[in-house]
Amino acid sequence: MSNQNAIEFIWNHKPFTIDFESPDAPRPSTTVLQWLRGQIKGKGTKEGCGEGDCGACTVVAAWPDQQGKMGYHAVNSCLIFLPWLHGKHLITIEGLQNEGKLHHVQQAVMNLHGTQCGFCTPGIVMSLFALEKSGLKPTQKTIVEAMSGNLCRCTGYDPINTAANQVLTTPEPDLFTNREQETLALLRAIDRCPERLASSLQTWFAPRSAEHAAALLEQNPGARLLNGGTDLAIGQTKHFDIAEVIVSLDETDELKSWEETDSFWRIGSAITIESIREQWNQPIPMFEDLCHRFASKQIREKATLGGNLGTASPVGDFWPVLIALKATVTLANPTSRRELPVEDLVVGYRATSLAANELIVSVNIPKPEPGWRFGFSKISKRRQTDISTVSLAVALQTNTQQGVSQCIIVAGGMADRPKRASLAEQALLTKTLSRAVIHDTCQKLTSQFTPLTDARASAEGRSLMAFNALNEILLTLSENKPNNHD
Amino acid sequence: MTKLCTDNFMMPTHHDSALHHVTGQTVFIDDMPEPAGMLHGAVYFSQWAAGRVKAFDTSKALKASGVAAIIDHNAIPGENQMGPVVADEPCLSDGTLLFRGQPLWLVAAETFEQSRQALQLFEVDVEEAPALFSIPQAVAAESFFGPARVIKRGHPDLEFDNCHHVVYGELFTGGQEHWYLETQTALCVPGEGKAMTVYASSQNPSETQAIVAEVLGVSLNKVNVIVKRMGGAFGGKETQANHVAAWAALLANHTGRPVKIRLTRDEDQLVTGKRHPFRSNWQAGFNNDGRVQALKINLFSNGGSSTDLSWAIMERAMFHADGAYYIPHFEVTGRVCKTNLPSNTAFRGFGGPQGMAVAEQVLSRVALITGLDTVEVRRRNFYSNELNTTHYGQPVERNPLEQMTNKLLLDADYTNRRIEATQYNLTHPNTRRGLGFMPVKFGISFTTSHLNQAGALVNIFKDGTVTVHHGGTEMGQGLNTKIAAVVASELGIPVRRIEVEPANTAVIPNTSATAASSGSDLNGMAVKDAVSKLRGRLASVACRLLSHSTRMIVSPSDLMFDNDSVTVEQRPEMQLPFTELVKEAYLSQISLSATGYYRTPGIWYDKDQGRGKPFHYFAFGTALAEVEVNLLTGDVKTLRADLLHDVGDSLHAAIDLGQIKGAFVQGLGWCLTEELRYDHRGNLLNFTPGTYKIPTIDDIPLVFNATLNPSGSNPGTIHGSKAVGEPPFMLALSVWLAVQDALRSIDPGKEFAFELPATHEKIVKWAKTLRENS
Repeated sequence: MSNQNAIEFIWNHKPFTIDFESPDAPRPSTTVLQWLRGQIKGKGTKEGCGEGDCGACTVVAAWPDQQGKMGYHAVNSCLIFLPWLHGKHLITIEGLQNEGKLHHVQQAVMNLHGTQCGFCTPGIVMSLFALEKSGLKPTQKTIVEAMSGNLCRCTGYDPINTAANQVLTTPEPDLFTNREQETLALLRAIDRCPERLASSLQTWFAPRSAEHAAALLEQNPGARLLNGGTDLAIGQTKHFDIAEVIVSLDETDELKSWEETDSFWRIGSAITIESIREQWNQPIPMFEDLCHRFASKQIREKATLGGNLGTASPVGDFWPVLIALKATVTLANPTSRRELPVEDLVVGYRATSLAANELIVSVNIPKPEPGWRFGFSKISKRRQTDISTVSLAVALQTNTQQGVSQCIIVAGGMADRPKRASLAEQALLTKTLSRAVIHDTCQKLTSQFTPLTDARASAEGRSLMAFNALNEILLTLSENKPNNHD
Repeated sequence: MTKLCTDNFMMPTHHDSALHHVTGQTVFIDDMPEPAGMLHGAVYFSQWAAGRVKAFDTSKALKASGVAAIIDHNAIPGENQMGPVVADEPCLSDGTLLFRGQPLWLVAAETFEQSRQALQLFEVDVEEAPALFSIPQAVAAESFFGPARVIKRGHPDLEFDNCHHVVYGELFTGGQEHWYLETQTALCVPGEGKAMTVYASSQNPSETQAIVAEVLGVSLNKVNVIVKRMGGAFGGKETQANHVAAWAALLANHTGRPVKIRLTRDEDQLVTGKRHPFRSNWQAGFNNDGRVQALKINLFSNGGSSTDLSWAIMERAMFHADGAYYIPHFEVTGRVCKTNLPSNTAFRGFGGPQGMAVAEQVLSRVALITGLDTVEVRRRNFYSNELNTTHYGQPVERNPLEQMTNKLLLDADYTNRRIEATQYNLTHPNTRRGLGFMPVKFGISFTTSHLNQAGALVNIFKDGTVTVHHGGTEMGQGLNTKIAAVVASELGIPVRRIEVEPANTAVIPNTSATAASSGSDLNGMAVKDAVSKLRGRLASVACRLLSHSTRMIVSPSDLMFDNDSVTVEQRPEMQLPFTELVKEAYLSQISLSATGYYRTPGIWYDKDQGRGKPFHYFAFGTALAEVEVNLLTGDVKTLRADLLHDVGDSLHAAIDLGQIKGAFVQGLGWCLTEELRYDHRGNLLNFTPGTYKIPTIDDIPLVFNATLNPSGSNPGTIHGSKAVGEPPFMLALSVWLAVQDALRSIDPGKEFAFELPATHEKIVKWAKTLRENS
């Protein structure tokens, strides 16, 4: 469109432009929540924690999927920067009513007494709205996955659970259904996000290619790479560590693409976890189990594999699973590419082997060969929307004599980084999965690691949990039945 | 007697703010339009638990972009004090550091971000001193607030000799972060002269007023505190809301500009007080029949750095350490430990849960040793019609627990499920099921007797609409909805014509906190008092008009206020629409505004003797919970919970059920996942929702039944109702007991000391220990 330094989006059916050149413009890394709460009609969206853990700031963003069908995505507005809105329909609590009439999601929450103090309510309503739009069947799993990112301290959730069941059982067409074609047309008329957005305080790049993104990192020392951004946002809003240059991968086409060949899946590093789940028809069960326990719906709508690997947290949920699956990453710098086992990407506490001018293009997961079996366990204080205290991923191949011919055991939360349990692997190789061998393997696991005592658990507790988790996985695998730990 | 209506159009269909909540129109303080020139306040909190500030430099922060002012304790015009009961809590530190999170400096800046960026530029040099954090540390150092308090009946020491069994135990119950969704927020607007208007998110507007007046050095009538609502409170805004208000008022006073302080979630979790952790030891004597004959309990709470409400909380814990049980020889001692933590404070239950957890641990041990069923043991020890006097001398009257227990066990199919759980455990080595039964008897009233009073003002306008002012505050619990229901039914008018106004100290003075579950009990009665005055005046006008038009003598006792009109009983044709009557009253120069007042009759308590009638009545509840525990991961699934709770004649069934289920889930969090972890320097490690885990929708019971017990009308309360805010919190102890039950299946005869919360980590450790020894 005309302005090269502006974003365009629709907010509650009304087209909006934010021109970052204008004198009173916010900087690009203003969160959607900050921006909304600065608007007269945007204060319905609340800040409960500012870090994506409570869902009070939940808004819905709608945009067409690859088939051109409108998809409605619940996201935490506290973790999203303004440029992400470009080309999307932002729906907030103020936009649900139709000519003064309550949306039936609002009606359900009100009638079923799903609101007490009201502070979480706008977020709850928006998550329910997105849930209804998903068209999913009203199962407990569906409801838990959609709603566990919304904390409520008053109601005990029971009426919210009932409301979720009700809106999924009897969905109704609404204002958004009626105006969907019109909205799609408006969104289609918006060009792509400019490659560069600059305010006086900050420059935002949205490069189209991995090489360009890497070149920008090289040209702008100290630039922050945004891939998902759920960590980067907290740096801006909680630690007031305002980046001067942000290189966003939201518009980097290759990083958003998905490829399946006979031998592997190539998952673009900037595809969101929810999008992976949608596109992957028959994912590896271990991967799907993990997704069910990974963060919350709102975060999965934003978080990416590249982001999860790039932050290299010792409790990064995808690390153990990807290492056990023998996944690799494709890395790009401005002029060349290389492929690296995921295992070799992490080199220390929150440290990767990525060069300053390098980024993750894709995660490549080989299709498991016959004879391989997998097990995964994530132990956390709370089942949903919690980072793991300890996690374990196991891949092993047995030969015809039931001896273990190959195995990979990876522990998360047990060291400064996700790490192979090499002593346990050695203990298991060539052995049959007897109880004695399993016990010995688990002991080798705990003898290798000296975990930390921190906000989540003590060192002693972690060792015990890791022992238990591996024990349970191996016992299940030894019984040769599907791993149903979860 | 003027008759009341009974029809339903006076009953609100939902919470009075529900429509605004679901549409995003609700205005919390941070949503208010910001006054011109408003500054954002921030607080520099101590990062050290004990010591002295040796040197500091705030000049860089003062020069930072947007910073308008930085002040310290020297800028306090009044008293440097914000202790609500005892004056032992400085508003701003004079350099002496008492806890991690103590306020030292206040910053005012043009934007929120600038106010926080300025904090990062402070340079502070501190000489640290040794500090105490835990109860054992404080006990060893004899660091207490005041002497021990004791309530004693009989002679437990002598009676132990007569018992078949004498056992000892210890229990730790952890603290709990309130995690109200709206963090502490206040907006102060300076007015003419020394006036200050305070928009507070406070459960106790009058105390906020008093603290603000104290630090500003002005009289109470210069400070007007307005509380429209809170985004959750749960006790966490009973005293802790005073702090942000006082800080904002100091900055507003200093700069002459409106100032808003909104704590970030991290700040709020780090610096505000929490539920008191308790550690107790006990000795119990009982016989083979499972009856506890003698019990001694020593309760120690972690009060933190200042007194705050710790003594009232300890007192309530001592009043509830009997659980639901008559113990002939009983002695309970309470001590409040002084430590270098933020001062712990009120939280739903107010010591009740901590006291009752001890009683339940005793009863569980009795069941274990006698081999009796855990429910049966509890029933045998219930207060009965004969043995109904508490250790502090108050009779437990109209006690429905036996009847409620019968009904609960039948409805929940306890006997069969007990057998099924036992069978399940025989065939599942790594997952175990357990059942927990919890009876609740909870005393209702402020135990500080004079607080049991309330005021109200009711205005009727010429168009027949009504505004109601009362001293209570709305925090989501539905107080205003219940108040509106009371007024509607007293006047016989539709609830839609009634507005319940924000709490405002300029309108209703000298209020007590909306706490102790007393909101509707006290304010409902005060409002009723005001309405009955108005009804009396309207009845006189109606009598005159109706007598005149019908040429009959109509007396007020013949009148019914119903169906939006006043009608002569048995004579439906003799009727005046309410709005017409109001108009006539106005034209007749009759006041349509009346105040109301209520004090709870007959309650008293002698702290020295440990005797009295501290409670107006008791609320009762029973719960049965079933859990499935994964012994390898420590994961707990609550499979089912059945709650049967007593609210007398409910003022609003849906709101009461919402309180019951909400309190239960909050209690479930306290019992399972909500754990406060500190490092050796007293730093709270899990001060974010990323690491401090309250329940999600996934944590509620898979089958979740809550029922109001048909107990009937509760005498001497508003419309026969009972308080409901706190009592159901303790029903969640059923989940904790169920977890223990599940773990005991590993080695059923073994005595084992559990703690609370039963986190995943503790469960895997307990399971390992139980298995190793079995």
